[in-house]
Order: sequence, then structure tokens, then C-alpha cells
Amino acid sequence: MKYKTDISEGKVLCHLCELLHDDKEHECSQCGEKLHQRLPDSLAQTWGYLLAATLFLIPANLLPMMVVTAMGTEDASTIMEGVVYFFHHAEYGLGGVIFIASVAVPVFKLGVIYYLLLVVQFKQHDKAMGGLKLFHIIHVIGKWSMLDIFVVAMMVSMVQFQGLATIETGGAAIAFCAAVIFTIIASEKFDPRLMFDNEVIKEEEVK
Amino acid sequence: MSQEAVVKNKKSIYIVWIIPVVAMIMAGWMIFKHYDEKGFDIKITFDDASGMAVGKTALMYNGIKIGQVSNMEMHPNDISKIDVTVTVEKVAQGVARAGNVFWKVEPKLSLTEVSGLSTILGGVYIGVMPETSDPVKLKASVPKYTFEALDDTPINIFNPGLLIYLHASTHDIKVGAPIMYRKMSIGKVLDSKLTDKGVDYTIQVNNKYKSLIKKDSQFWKISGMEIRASLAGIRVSMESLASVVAGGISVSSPIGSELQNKDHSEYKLYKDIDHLNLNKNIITLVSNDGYNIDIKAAHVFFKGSNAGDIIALDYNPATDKTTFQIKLKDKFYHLANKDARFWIVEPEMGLNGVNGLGAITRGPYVSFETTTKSKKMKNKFTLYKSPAKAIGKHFKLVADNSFSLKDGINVIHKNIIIGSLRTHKLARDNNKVLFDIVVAHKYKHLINNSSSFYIQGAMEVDASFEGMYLNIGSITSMVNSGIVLKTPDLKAKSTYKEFLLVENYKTFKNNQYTKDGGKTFTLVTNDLKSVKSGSPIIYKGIRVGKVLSFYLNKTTSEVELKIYIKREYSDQVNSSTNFFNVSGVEIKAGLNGVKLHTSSFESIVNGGIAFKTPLKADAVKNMHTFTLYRDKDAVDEKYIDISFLMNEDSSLKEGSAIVYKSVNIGQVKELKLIDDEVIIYAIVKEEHKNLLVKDSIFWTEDVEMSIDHIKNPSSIISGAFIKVLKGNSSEFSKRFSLASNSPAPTINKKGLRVLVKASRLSSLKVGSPVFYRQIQIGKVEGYGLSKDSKGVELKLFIDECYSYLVRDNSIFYNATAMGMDISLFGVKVSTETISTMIHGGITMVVPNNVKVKAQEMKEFKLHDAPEEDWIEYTPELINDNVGCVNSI
Repeated sequence: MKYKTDISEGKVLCHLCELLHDDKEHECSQCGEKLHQRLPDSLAQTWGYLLAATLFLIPANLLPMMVVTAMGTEDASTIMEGVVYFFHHAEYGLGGVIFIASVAVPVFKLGVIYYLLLVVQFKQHDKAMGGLKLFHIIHVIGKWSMLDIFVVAMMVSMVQFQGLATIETGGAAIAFCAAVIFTIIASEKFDPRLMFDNEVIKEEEVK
Repeated sequence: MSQEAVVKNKKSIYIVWIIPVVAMIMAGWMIFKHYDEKGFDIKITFDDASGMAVGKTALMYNGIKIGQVSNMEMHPNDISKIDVTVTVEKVAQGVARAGNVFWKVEPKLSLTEVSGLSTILGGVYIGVMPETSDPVKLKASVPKYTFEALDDTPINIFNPGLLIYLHASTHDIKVGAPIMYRKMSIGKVLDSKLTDKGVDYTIQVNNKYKSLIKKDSQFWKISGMEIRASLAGIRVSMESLASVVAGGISVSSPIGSELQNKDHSEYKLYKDIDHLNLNKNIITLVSNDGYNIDIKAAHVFFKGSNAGDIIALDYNPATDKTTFQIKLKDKFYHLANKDARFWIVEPEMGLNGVNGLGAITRGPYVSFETTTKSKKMKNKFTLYKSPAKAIGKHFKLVADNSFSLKDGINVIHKNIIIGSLRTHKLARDNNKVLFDIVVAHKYKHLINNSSSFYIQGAMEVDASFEGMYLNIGSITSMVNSGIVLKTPDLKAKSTYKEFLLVENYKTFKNNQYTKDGGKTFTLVTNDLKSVKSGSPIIYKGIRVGKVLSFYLNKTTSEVELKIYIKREYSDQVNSSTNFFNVSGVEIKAGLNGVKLHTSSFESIVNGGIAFKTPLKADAVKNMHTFTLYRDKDAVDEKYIDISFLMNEDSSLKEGSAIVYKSVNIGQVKELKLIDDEVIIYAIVKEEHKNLLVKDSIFWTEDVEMSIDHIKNPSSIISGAFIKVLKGNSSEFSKRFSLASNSPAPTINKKGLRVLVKASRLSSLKVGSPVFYRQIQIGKVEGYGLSKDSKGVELKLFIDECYSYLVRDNSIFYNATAMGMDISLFGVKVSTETISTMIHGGITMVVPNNVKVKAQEMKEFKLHDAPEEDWIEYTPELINDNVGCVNSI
């Protein structure tokens, strides 16, 4: 399907102040920013950050998120162990929230971006509109993954009763943070207009 | 239009890819680290894993957590054991070595051990300890991953202390019991094991006390509490509280011996402190005969004290001699020196008595003694049949019984040991006990005919009114008793060979009392009062003798006492001596106070007799008889018996006094009723014989109280008494009648007597005063109705010194009436004196024209009231009686 894109119309959008220009221009008349047809190196960057996020998700799930030391005994638990714990204790709501926020959403985000990248790579124009919707979704909910980290941070700062009970962060917390941040960056670096292009726009070499 | 060159950076693609690369590295490293740190697993088998929890129970080394229990399951082969898998941190790799020991640490609270208290809060944990602290050995050990846990906490290898094995015969010390050195805990019992020979204890002495254990240290068991009761007293001793519960072991090390520094050295554990030194102090006695000694019961004695045991007896057929092995107590060992002599004591019954009395009950025993203090020791002796012939002079003592004296006890003189008791035996013929004592030659002169012997106990107390006598003999005599020699006269002859042995000092003293050459007398009395045997005889307050005995003479019905006066005082008694009883307390009560008199405190309790020797008279012989008077007064004076006829009742009684001019001259002895009349028998002191004349007046006086005076207040306490007014007659009389009223006080007095006539007596009475110018000059001596019964006649007595005042024209008026003048100017009350208000009185006035002196028995009129002008009279009257002086 052919879309009317800015390329076909010969227009360029400033990515900063969003003023429409002719594609002849190289500089935005309003904000002075360099004019790019598409986000520079969008695909490469998105892939890079996406992979980093994926890699960080592995320790985030394997290492313990929180180490609870109560009465001299240490108890380290990963995210999944925490979810299981809550479900085990019939705290379905709490368990559900943590599961969604810490497990489902990051995985979903990664999955969506992978899908969008593949859409662009394989010029699946018919999937573009659906992809755009997905993109908007992840763009909005991305930051809510930090909920779990927030919980851990609160617990650590509150439960510091030396001798009776202390909570410390495990390695997974950092890895999870990194993973979430990278998915956010990855989604920022992705230019969804690429899904509508006939060809992958290559950077022109200007004479 | 010019176009700017737009330089695009191609390299940006590469920069981005750093991020995932870095991410990969980081993630990978994190995972790797996580799993790497997880450590390794070891498996420990426990018999009892109670209190452990998977994921919770920690493995601790020296207080550091180095691992955690990750799994627990039953041992596949033995279901009574638990296999515990512990994940150990990587850093604690040394844990997995052969030789390491693991045990469960749980709280232990007992008298002997307090440990592991931290596990109450934190839960039990597993402890690990390497086998040895030797680093070489540690390096050489092989890795091992399965272990068997110990049952109990092992010895701390970092503070092992000194390990010693003790061998004992019975198991009565618990694990954990303390090892005590001078009552301080220096270690404890770690382990006890039963072996076929007895019990082996492993003890650990703390490192810092290691140096106390020497090569010839000795260990003995201490029971918790030791009570040793014997005749010498009861002794309770306790080492420590822990030893009371768990038993304990005490150790002592001789000074100057080598240090024991070898680990695992072995010692013998003795049953108690008395069993120590089993190999010391052994001596051998060689004898011709075994004497039937029972080595289990036989002892060796030194001067009557148990000095050791006979531990073995051996007969050698080749030499035909019996050898005794004797173990002496430490205290006595040094006495078995080269001059010691051992002999056997056997019961002997022969013609002259019984010997060796102690051996009859105990069986034969060995006794020994030494004559010198030589330090040279011998360890082989001959056993003789009898003690050495003592060097010294032998004496014989005789007594009624043996007083439990033991052979060998000392003979003491002035607290110096001068000899000893050799033997004692029963005399067959006269049932007495004969003692054979030996006195050293240098002291034999102390014994002569005046000597006496008595037995001294440990402590003698004799308390009596003479004072308290306390005598504690020397320490040896406290244990053994001693025979004391007393020789009062060192110059006496020494012919006696046999002496009397008296039981104690008191008996001895009593015997001594009458031996100083004093005199014995007999006293006769009706009433012994509280005098008894031993009562003192007092002269001028000094105790000069005592009552020896008394008995009732059936024929004369009197009590006869035998008294003894000591020699130095016996010449105070002569034929004029009066003895009187001073028992009890004498109370003399009067208004001036109560007088309590007693001769001595002793006389209150024991009774007492005192005597007075008023005259120098002939001396009396021994056994002279005296009368014992009832009391002092009976002795002091001689008395005259008189009697009174009582007219009226009075409160006179036995003991009522007879008083003349306020001097006690006698007392009432008894009142007798004869023919319905009361006769009073009294005694009057002989010196007042002159009062007992025919016209002396006796009357009773009792307390009289009236408004203005109290008469005879002392009678309140002492009762009524008899007063006497001396008569002028010279005829002696013994019988009198007792008037109830006192006679006129003026009777027999010298003075002027006149008569006054009054219409009425009014308040005048005998004794009412007569005044002149308000000075009393006389009294009413008597009164009566006038002859014609028209009035009252009063006889006035005017004192001699004032008789010049009475003139022929003297006027007498009754001064009783109170003059009361009520007028507009006030009330005028006039009266002579208060007493005249009550008793009445007579005032005399003399008119200015003085007439001649009145004669005896002149009659006057007694006016009822004065007239105005009589008071104004002021005649001049001169006292011409030189015998009277009106003192101001």
C-alpha cells in the first residue's frame, strides 16, 4: 500500500519544533536544528539499545531482587520468587501488579519493538497502522515498569532495623533498572515513520 | 545559491553498538558472579538436627557465617540420622577438609556450663573447627565433602589448655566438674570413660594455669560437701558450688618440682585427700610375732593419738620374722626418727592386775615414742614387746577409777611436762586403779609428802561466789588430759611412795581447805535459817572459814554445826566470841529510809555466819562449842524482859518498838492473851535499866493526824510503838500497865503550877498553850470539873523559865474566841494563833502595877474574853531565874 509520506510530498518535519519545511532546507527556520527526514540511525540505535535491554533482563530475573535479613537469617528472592510468594499467600492483587509491572510489561515492550523493527526490515506496510498503535501503547506505559524498582527502593529505605530485619537490594534491581531504561531509550530512538516508507531511507550524501 | 556541506558522521553507527556490548559484558559478569559466589556444598550427618531449618540455619566459624543449610533429608542408610547439606561460601574453602569437625551449637545452661546463649535468639547453628591449629598439618589435609557431626562441643583448639588423663577406680565425677587448685577453678573434666580397670577421666587445664601442673602433682576427688564429725568437733567444708553438684577434682603440686608440659600425661586420681601420698611415710617394723594384729583395724599410736595405719603384714618363714608395713600420717612421720622405739600393746591379765586396758577392746596395737628431737630418720625398726624402760623415778598413784587416762599422757607441774604415765592397771585386791608414773630425774625433787595429784581436763571452770576459776591446760592436755602435780611445801619430807590421784581441781581444793592447820568448832542453834554446808564464816567482812557440816541432835532438838576457821584467822576466836547468823537480808524500815543490810551477797544465797569477839579472853581449843545466835541484835546487847498490861486495843505487834526520847530501847516480843487480858511481853536493852522504875509511864503512840499537825508520821510505816516517860522513883520494876494516851507532857517537869477556873472548857484541852504576849509560856496540864460542879478547873503548867511572869494579880483569859469586829471601818479579826483557834489557848496578862510572884497552885479566874485595856498593859518584869536563858 502506498502512503502519502513526507518524502512523497517533498516535505521535511523538524524533529524538534515540528515545523514543516520543504525538503530542500537543511536547517529549521524556527529553532535552528538540523533537518532530518528521519531520525538519524534510528534502526541501528534501536537495535543496539534493544539488545542491551534484553541482555540486562536476564540477570534481572536470575539474580535476587531483594535480600531480606530477618532475625539473622537471609532471604534473597528474585522477581519471580516474589510474585510466587504473593500468589502463595493469596495476595493476588499484589502479586498480579508486580507480575505485570516487572515481568509482563518489559517483555511486552521488548517484544513490540522487535516486531516493529521487523516490520520495517521486511517492509510489511500493511502492518504499519497496527504497529503505530502498538508503538503508542509502549511509548506510554514504558515508564511504569519502574514501579517495581520503586517498591524495592521504598522497602530498602524503610526496613532498616539492624538486628531485627534489614532489606537490601540484590543485583537484579540494577539490572532491571538498566533494562527498563534501555527499553525506554530504544522506543525513543525508533522512528515509526519508517514503517510507512517504501524503501529504507538511507542518508544521502550531500555534495 | 551556495550549499553548505553537511557532514554526516558515519561512525555513529559504531558508537551505539558499544552499549549492547557493554550490556552483555555487565549482564554476563553479574550472572557469573552470582553463581560463582554461591559456593560449594558439603554434607554433614547429624544424630540430632532439631532446631535446624533449611535456608535459615547458618554454618559459623569463629562467629562468622560462612555457609547456610540448603537441604535436610534423612540419611539413606540410617533413618535415625539426618543428612544436612550446607552451602558454603567460596571464601571458606578450608571448611571442606578432612579432619574438620562439625557440631550443633545450641543453648546450654547448667551449673557446670553456660554456653551458646546467643542461639536462643538466633536459632541453633552449626559450628566448625579444624582438627588442629598446626598450619603444616592443615596444609596437608585432603578435601572432604561429607562429614559426621560430633555429639558435643569439641575442645577449642585455639585454647586447648593442658589435657591430662586421670585414672580412678569409681565414677563419681561428672563431665563438666571443675578442677580446683587452692579452691580456684583452673579447668574442667571433659570426658569420662569406663575402662576395665576403672574410670578414665580426660581433664583440661586452662592455658593460663598450665604451669601449676607438675610432674608429681597429685589429684584427688573432692566431694561437694565434707562433714567430718569426731570428738574433737564437727568440720564442714565445701570446695565450690559447682563441685557440690558435679563433684570435683582438686590438685596440688609440691613446690619446686618439675613442670608437666606434656600433653596427655597420665595421673592417678585418689579417692580423697587422706589417701594421697600412698607411697610416702612408709616404715617397716620387724618382729618375732604377728601378735594377731588385724591390719584392717589396727593403728599405730603416738602418745594416745592415731598416728598411722598398718597396711601390710608379711611372715618370712626363712627368717621366722614378721614384717609390718606401717604408713604414718604426715604429722607424725618425723617422730619416727632414729631414737624412736615401737612396741606392741597387748592386753595382759596377770596376778598383779590387768595391763594394756585399751587393747582389750581394740585388739593389740602398736605404740611408739621417741625421746629425742633428732632429725635423722630411720625406716626400719624392731617391734618390742614393751615400751622403753623410762628414765626417771617411778611413783605410784592410786585412784578410785581410771578416769579414762591413756598411757603416755603427761605429768605436769606448773605447766611444764615433768613426766608421763607409763601404765595403769586394776589392783586386784582393793578394786582401785594403780597408776605408774615416771618423773624425769631432774624433777623428782618436786614430789614429796605434801604433794597431791589431780587430773586436769581440757578446761576447768569453777564458778562460785568466791570468784570464777578458769583453767585451760596446755594444748596437749586438752587432748589427752594430764596429771597435775601440786606441791605446796617444797621442803617437806619425801617418804611417801604412793599418792592419791584426785579427779579434778575442785575436789583437790576442797580437800586442801581444811589442811592448813586451822581450827574446828561446834556451833549450836535452834534455827539454821539458810546456813548450809559450805556457808562462809565472816569476820569483819572477811571470809575466814566455812561451815563443814551440820546435823540435828535428836536429844537436844537443836542443830549442831561443824565449822572450820582457817589457820591465819583462828586466833581471832576466843571464849568471848559470839557467833550469829547473817543469812538473808536485813531490812530496817523507817521514815528516814529503808535500810537493807546483808553481810555479803553470798550470805543471801548460801547463808552465812559471822562472829564478833568483844573482849580479850582465853583462847579456845579445837571443837569448842559456841551458841549460834539468831541475828546480830541478839548478840549485841543483853536484854531485860518486861511485861505490860494492855488496857485498850492498839496496833502494837511483835517487833513494835519501845522508844524513850526518840531512842529505840527495846521491842515487843509477843502479845499473849491471858484470862481475857492482853499481856505484852517485851525486851528492853540492859543499858536502859534505869528507865524501868515504878513510876515510869508507858503509853502507846500511833500516828495522829489533825488539821494543823501530824504526829508520829513514822508510825505509818513502822506501826504503833510504845513510849516511855521516866519516873523519878528508884524502885526497879518489870511489870507496867500500858496507858492508851500519852501523859501530859509536862508531868514531872519543873515549873509553876496554877489553877484557873472557867465556866466552860470550850476548846481547851491538855496541852493547850498558855501565852504571854503571844509567846508560849506553858501548857494546860490537866482539867476537871470543879468541886461544886459549877465550872471547870484547869491546871496550868508554867515553864520554869517563865514562872516569874505569873503574879498575884495576873489575869488569864481564854484566847480561843475569835475576836471579830465588824464595823463600818472593816472587819477586824483577832486571834492569838491559828492553833488557838482550833485547840484553844489561854493568854495571861499582867497589870502594870506588878505584884508579887504567884505561889504554886494559886487560883485564878479564866475570863472568857479580854477587855480592851488589858492588851495595853506593859509591865516591866525581870527574869531572875539565872538557870534560864531566853535565847533568841
